[in-house]
Amino acid sequence: MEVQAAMGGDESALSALWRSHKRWLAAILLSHKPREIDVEDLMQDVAVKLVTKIHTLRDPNAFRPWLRQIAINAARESARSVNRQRNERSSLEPNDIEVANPKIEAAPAVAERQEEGASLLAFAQTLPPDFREPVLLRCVQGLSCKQIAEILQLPVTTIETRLSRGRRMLREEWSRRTSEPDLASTSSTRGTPS
Amino acid sequence: MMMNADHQPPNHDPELDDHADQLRAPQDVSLDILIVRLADGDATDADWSEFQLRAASDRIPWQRLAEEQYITTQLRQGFTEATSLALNVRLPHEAESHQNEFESFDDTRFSIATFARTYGGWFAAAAAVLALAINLALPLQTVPNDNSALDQGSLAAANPNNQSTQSLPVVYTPDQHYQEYLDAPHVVRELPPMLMQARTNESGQRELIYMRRIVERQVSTGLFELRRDENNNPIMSSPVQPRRNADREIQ
Repeated sequence: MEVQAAMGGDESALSALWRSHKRWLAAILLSHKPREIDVEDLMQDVAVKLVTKIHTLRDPNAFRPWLRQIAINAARESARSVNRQRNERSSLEPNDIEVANPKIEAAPAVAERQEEGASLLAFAQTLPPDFREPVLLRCVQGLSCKQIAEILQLPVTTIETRLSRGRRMLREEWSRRTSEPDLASTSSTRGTPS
Repeated sequence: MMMNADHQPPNHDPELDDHADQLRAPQDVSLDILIVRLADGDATDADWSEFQLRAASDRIPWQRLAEEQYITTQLRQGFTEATSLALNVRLPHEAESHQNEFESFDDTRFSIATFARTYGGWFAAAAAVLALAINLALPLQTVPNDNSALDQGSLAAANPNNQSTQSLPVVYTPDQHYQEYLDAPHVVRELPPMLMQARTNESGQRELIYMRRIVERQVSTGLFELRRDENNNPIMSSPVQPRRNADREIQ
């Protein structure tokens, strides 16, 4: 009903659809975006495309897979754009290249646990494509395997299998990293002892 | 081991045969799915029973479950932080109406800010006096102790009107205290918990005994060397000077 109303130009229905779907859209974008692009920039693109292309949707029941494809296309387009810029830079004479390489220093106040979450997320984004989406979609609070299956157009058992294998890879990577704790790198983030 | 009619594990996915290098033996796939269900809170009673059956003589499943729960929590936290800005993105028509609200609100805020700057000091002083007067006028409020009738009697004696009491002091839970300790400057990090034992308690519930490991650091202002004298008695000898590296600052 809401999808059909949005297709008919109802802005409030469109807003309601956006509110209820943007969380898992963010997970899809994280799964497919290039590292250099921020997910919020891609969300802007997806928001515009949703508004301008909703009338082209043929089957309201296929709204989720349709929206997912829009998100994937936006991520791929940004990846192509990044590659184009990279190729343009590499074709320039060395003197013409201005390499912006700011030294990014970790803020001492960043909690160890926040870094671990970000580190695990970064690794999850490098998983094989079949595992990446289920793992990141499962991070969306309240999204069940059944709903993920509906978004990805796959059986629930397949989603569970891919999710379990993707998480196992995460576990193995995390075990590998924590098997030799690097005290020297962490001690610099702490202040003087009491 | 359960098999379907095709003599394959129930969760065999033919689409993933290309990822053979990442696949595990079929008998491990079901355990991974069980662990994910348990960690995500989607496990049924049958899932728990099967997991306990597998873990009855092996502590590895419990360890993997503990690791899975930890990793899932961390990953979700990382995901939430990474997507927090993106979730504020609005549709074009929403962004426009939000902008209009902000502009009108901005005018209101400006006038309130001007008013506050002019009279704020007086209001703050008046509020402080009022708070002090209220504090002095109200009776002391204490928390009735549930443990003993003696405290009830004491409260009744102290409060002859027998008014109901409300608690005012802030009470920290053990977890909050522990979190505060972890945030102390000398604490480097908490290593993953180590599962020591898994057993069934008297209530029939599965009980996990695990060890928490904390890494702390301490800067020593003087290092002494423990030696033995000629009678083999331990003695403290002169302080050991730490090796200095001109390029490295000793922390």
